[in-house]
Amino acid sequence: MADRDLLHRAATCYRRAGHLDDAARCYRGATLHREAAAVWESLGVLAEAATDLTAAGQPERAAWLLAHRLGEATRARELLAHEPPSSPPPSSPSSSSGNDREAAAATDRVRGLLRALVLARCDVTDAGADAPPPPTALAALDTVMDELDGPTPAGPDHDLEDRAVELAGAIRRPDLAALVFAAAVRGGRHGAAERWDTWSQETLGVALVLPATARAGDR
Amino acid sequence: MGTREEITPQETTPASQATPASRNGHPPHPAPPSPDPAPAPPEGLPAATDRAPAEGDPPPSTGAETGQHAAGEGWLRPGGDDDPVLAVSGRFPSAHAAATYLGQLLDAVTSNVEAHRSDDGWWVTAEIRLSLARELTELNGGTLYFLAEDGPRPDRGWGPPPDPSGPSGPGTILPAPLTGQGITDLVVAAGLRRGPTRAPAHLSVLVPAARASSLLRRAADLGLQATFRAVRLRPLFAPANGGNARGGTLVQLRLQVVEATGRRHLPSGMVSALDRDGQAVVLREAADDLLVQHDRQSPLTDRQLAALADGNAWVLADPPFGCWSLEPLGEFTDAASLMVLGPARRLTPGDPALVDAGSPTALPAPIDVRVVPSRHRNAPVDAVLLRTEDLDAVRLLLEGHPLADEAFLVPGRDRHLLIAAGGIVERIPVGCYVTGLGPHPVYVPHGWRTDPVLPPSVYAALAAQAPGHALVLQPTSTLVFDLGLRRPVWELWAGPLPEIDLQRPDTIDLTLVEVDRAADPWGQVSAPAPPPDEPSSRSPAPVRTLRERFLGRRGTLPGRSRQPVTWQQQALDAELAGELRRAARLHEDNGSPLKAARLYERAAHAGSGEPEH
Repeated sequence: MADRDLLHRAATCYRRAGHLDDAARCYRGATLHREAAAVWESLGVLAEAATDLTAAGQPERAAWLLAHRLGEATRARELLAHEPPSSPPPSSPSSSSGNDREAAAATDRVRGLLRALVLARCDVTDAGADAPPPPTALAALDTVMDELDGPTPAGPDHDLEDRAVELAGAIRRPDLAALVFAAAVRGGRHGAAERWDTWSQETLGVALVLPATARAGDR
Repeated sequence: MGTREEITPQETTPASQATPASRNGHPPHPAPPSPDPAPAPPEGLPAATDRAPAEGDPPPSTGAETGQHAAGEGWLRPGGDDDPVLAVSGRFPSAHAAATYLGQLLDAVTSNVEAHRSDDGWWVTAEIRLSLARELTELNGGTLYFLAEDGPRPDRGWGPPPDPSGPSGPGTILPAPLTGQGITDLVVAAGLRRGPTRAPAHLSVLVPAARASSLLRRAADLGLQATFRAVRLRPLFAPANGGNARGGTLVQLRLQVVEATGRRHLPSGMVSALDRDGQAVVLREAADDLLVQHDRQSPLTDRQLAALADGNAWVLADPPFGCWSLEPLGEFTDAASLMVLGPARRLTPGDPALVDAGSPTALPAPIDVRVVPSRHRNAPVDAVLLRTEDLDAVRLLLEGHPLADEAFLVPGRDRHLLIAAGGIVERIPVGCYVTGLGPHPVYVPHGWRTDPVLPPSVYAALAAQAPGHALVLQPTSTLVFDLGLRRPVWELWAGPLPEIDLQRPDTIDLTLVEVDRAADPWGQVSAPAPPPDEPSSRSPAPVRTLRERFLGRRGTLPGRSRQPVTWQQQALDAELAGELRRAARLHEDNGSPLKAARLYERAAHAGSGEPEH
């Protein structure tokens, strides 16, 4: 059994030396899978990144890499079928409070939506680029808009907006992407207006003009 | 309740007879009370007049308050000459109170103690000091009587005992004692009461044999130590001519915690379950010959109860189990003998084919370790194995290369090893790349591995066979290089350094000789310095002079040490010694992260147990 601390030091030194593949290998040996996945993703080795994301307990992110970046819908579905939904670390019963339970429920809801987006993205890949958008994609986007339109949950949901916009882009529906951003702005997601503006300039080539009341609601 | 010395007549007087004035106006013992505040005896009680005043008795009362004090009456000093040992009897309304009194008596009196039964209560007679008898009787809610020839006479509760020739109390006739001394009858009548429940470390359980095995299994599951024995039980306290005196047998299980498990008490859940089991009775071992139901206790102490048991041990428990006389039928046996872990098979002689017929000390044939091709890619370059004809190419490649500053060549017969602190790392296009296998300098060529795969400790043991050497495992041979012969690689093309000609002024030799003479005028410390024109023609002095220390030896510069002076040399020495973590730290601190990373990785997989620096 290798020494995790020494492997972590080795990975840090490899990164300083610019040997990122060796750094990712050492991160994986030290069971620091999130760091390893980030390095693999920066190198463009997405299959290895998906492997480490799965080992890190983030099968939804791994499956999205496979489905959206690599176009491997079958592997993404298999991964989600074999990996249970990732869950936050369990808290002791004595320390669990109402806020903790609410955060756990919100996290589960967000991860369920991420899975729905991944499966919809797999359906888009299977249908082909010229086919009309599958109903699962439209339904998933509709559900995500409802989620983003609501109050900000206690758990993290920053992946949700990105995945929905990427899915809308995959089915060539920039109007739906704009609706996703609009829902995020109405829901008060931090920086949603700026992200919408950036997307608008990159995709539509025009700057976004939002009413002052909408920006004021951006928390 | 105060101590015995604090007892006063007022305090021993029955509450119904004591007056508030008598309790409040009396100073504490041992100072004799003054006669003035002495209380008057209650009216209607006979006065004792047959006792002469003893020495030390308080002076008689003047009778000014009541006019009823007789001469000779005074205060009773506990344990004093006026505290006689008398035959007294305490009458108690319940057997429990009488048994409690009996237990307290048995601690003070060991003989002439009897118990009697009357229609209105229990009597306990004994010969005891009067003050103690008054105290114990009042403590247990009884009434004290003196035993006169014509019958018991009630105690007035204070002062000297009454006149034995006086009239007896109304209706007080002492009944005849019960069986024997009657003590056992009183204990039986008092019975057992629920006592405080303590978590025990050991208990005994009496169960039928058919129930024993399941209980033993449960005890084994809980990690308890269980022993058992068969016992014969006969009814205890049964009428001599009635009842089934033959009894029967049961199994006595002794359960106790094992200290090694860290458990201090028996599991309360198991004890509660056994309590509810109608076939088992849980007993505490109150004494060697006494077992009492574990949550019950008698008014008598366990020691007093055990003293009553003569012959066989007693088992005292509430109905429906009742009380029994226990006779062991054997010694306690470990319960493991009853545990059946699997089906038993008939014992058969061993099969000779199953044993090794060769030398009794022969070990299994070891598996040959081979070096086989490996599919592992991108292995790091820790060293380079060179042939002699490669050395010219090395000179061409490394001349002007940064590696020339830190690489060393370990020469061999026809193979040579190029090493550097932290590994060669650079994939120079010459020689055969080798990779380190452990914390020590044991290498294997790229594209090869050992079969079977060996742990790092094996390579450490291999390196320990040849300390100070580097080993290169090849498919057909193992090359061994003496690391003490390593030379800087630049010597391949630079050669040795030119001779040093130290340019010092001529006058400095004369000056230093004069200084040495001044410091040692008689030449006791060192031999006389040679003339300046013969600087090194004689043998060196045992103690170096100032001149020698300053000038140094011929051909060398003063102050030069043979110890490694650069961090690269220190790092290489640490690496060759197996201290990879220290070597990596040196590289990391000196801006060489790639080599530090490789050394950290080797250290992580080697698990050398090197301490953190």
